Amino acid sequence: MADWLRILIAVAILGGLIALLIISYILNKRTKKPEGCIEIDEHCASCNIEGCAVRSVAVEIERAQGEDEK
Amino acid sequence: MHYLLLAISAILVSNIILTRFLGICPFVGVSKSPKNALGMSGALIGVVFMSSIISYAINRYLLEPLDLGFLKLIAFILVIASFVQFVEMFMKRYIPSLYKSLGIYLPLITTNCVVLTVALDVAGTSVTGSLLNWGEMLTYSAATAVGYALIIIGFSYIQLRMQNSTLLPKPFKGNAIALITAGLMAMAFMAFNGMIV
Repeated sequence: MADWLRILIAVAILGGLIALLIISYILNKRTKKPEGCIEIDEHCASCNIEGCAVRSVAVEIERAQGEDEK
Repeated sequence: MHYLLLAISAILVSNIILTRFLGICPFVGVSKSPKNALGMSGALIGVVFMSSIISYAINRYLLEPLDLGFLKLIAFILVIASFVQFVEMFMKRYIPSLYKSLGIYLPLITTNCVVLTVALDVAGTSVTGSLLNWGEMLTYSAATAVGYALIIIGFSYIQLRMQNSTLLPKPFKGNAIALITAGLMAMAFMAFNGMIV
């Protein structure tokens, strides 16, 4: 098989998979959650991994916001 | 017998957490309560098994015949991310009760490196070295996920005891003692190396 054709097929496969991801993401977002489900909070509050660096930053931001509101 | 050995090897001898230290983040984080560990394990077993089948099929019937093996990594990442979205959507729509118990863990699984590693393993890129057949692939992917579940559930009960312990020195509390315990578990599981001759 010619190289240009292989590259073209590779690009087509990648494009197809990216399109599949975008479609699945949009469809998933549009699907309503069943009643009584726990809403996942923003800023990592729902994540149980307490030692994560991202979470500690998010918690600090939330604390600062809470103090400002007071 | 060959499949049984493969399963025992994936669950006990070459456990993916204790020998390759993959999926440590949810292992330490989610295993703080047995209920969370059970939910995470259930969701992970389903996703690992199904995403391995899809990845294996794509590799065997599309990428390898076209000599596009270099696309494995990126293709599998996209396949796993899309698959998790579809699973979440399906559960929301048709199995709301299952979504209520497992739905919260699905976004965590998308970024769990165990899922990608098993997909790459069954495609023959890392540990195994050669392509597995369908039976071997199904056994290996199911057994690896079960091995992960076994460790994470067992570890959650150990974590419960550690949280309630008053004897633990302050510097060791939290993730420090969790990782030390994981190391001790890894050494204990090395004893299973003698099982398969």
